[in-house]
Amino acid sequence: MKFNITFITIILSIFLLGCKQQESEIQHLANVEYAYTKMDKKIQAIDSTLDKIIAPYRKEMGSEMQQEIGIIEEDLVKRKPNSNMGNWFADILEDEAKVVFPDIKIDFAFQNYGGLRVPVMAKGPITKGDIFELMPFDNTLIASKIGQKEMQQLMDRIANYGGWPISRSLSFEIKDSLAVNIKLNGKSISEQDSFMVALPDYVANGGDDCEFLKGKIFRNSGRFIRDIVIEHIERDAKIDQIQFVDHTERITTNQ
Amino acid sequence: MKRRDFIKYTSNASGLLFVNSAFPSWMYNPEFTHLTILHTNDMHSRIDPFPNDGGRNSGLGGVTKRAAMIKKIRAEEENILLLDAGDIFQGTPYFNFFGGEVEIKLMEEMGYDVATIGNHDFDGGIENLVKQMKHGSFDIVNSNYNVEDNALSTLIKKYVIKEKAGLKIGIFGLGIELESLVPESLYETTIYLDPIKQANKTAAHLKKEENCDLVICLSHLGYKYKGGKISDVSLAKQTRNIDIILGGHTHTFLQKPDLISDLDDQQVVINQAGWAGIMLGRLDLVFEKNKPGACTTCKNLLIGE
Repeated sequence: MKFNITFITIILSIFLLGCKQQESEIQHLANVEYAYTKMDKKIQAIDSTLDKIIAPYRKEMGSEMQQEIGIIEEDLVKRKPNSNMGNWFADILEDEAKVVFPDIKIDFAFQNYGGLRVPVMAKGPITKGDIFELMPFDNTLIASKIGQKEMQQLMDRIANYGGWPISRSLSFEIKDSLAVNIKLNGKSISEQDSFMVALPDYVANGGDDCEFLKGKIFRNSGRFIRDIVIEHIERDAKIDQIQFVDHTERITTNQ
Repeated sequence: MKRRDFIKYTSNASGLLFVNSAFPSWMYNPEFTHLTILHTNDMHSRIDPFPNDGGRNSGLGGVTKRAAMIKKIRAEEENILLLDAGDIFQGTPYFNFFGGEVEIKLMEEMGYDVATIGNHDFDGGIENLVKQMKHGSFDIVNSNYNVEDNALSTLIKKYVIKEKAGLKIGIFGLGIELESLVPESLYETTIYLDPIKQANKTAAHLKKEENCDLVICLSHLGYKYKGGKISDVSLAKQTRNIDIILGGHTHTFLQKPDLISDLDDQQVVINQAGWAGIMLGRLDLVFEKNKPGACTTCKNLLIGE
């Protein structure tokens, strides 16, 4: 018995000694303070070393990105379920899909919400750089042929998200996060067996939770959506046409 | 005396004490070690400030401003870590034209220490990511992407340990699920592993085996979601041994960092600094040497009671 107690004491001593040495080295977090510094006009100082690094790249991009390609007369704001930015963009996709795929009868077009990367595009001149920032991805325009089942899945996906930009030919209601009362040019979709949809290749390949669209590609234009939109705006500008924005509510919420 | 006040106050607040200012003078006590963490996330190739077009973000951001601010803080504070939580790439023509080269060169110039990768850092493909990162010498960490079978294996470290002011700081990264978010042709054979499992494994290693004083997770999972999707907040609740999560992906502007209790009922600091370099996030940390008999495995914030 006595042996046991002595043994335990020795072990404990070694343990405590060991701990003490280790403890004196280890530190613990005792206090945290925080700050967020906004990079706004109040900050005057700039680091010119970085400007020197950027300069040659800026020069190489040249004035191309500053080039004014057209005019918009209202601030385009990205919102769910509908927004003027979403309507404007999706309508360009529908119109341009008809040009890019002249032999295909496109029913409607859509753009996934996350594909548009700026919350606001200010009114006034539109630069090429604005469109690069709005649509930076090298996504190509696709025509996919889908059946009734995929059509409902796609609309439900859009409804579940709270709305994506859809073109003027399409409308539906969101009810309990599902799409109901889906209409194409005012007619129920039950009148059609298949649908030709214009969309970005990212989604056509199953991206943004659209796995059901995989394998439904009818034709890939091979052309970047960004370039298509730039050309659309440039074409309008040539005939002194400002960008047209349709404000109709395509997606309504029925909560 | 003053130190005692501080500890008492902290205890009364039953946890970490947040003060929205730089270190108060009484904290400059030889018993305390200071570490300043500067952090960004979702820079999205925003090199120049947003254009002055009257829009919401008009004139905000800009890398030359941020660099000047970082230089100023470096002149004021001795121990600084500069970290980024991913999505360095994509969003301005700089990326379309140069594939990320400018972004990385600028981060290198600013002296970034460690970054993790976000989904958009895959946008130019794996080879491009590896190529562009050669313009920088900072570490890229991620512990939940299995990249054994592709070129990223030469770039990504599971974690790094940085030593500052006698502190050992373990830093690891977590990335978001790539399937359905990034085209497979871009992420190739990268396999997404359960972030909770990997975080627990990596953080335990850093705390217990490497004896790190602080464990930081650079996360590109996103701040918080309505459903069951893994986020920084749900990660904190389901892990142990992580002290700080610096997040990204959701472009969240927080009013103050979050404090979430982990599996051991220890508090985890969660922070995020918006996006596009509009904000520079800053955490000023104070460390105290552990006392004999005090808990050495936990943060031990109630020491002194």
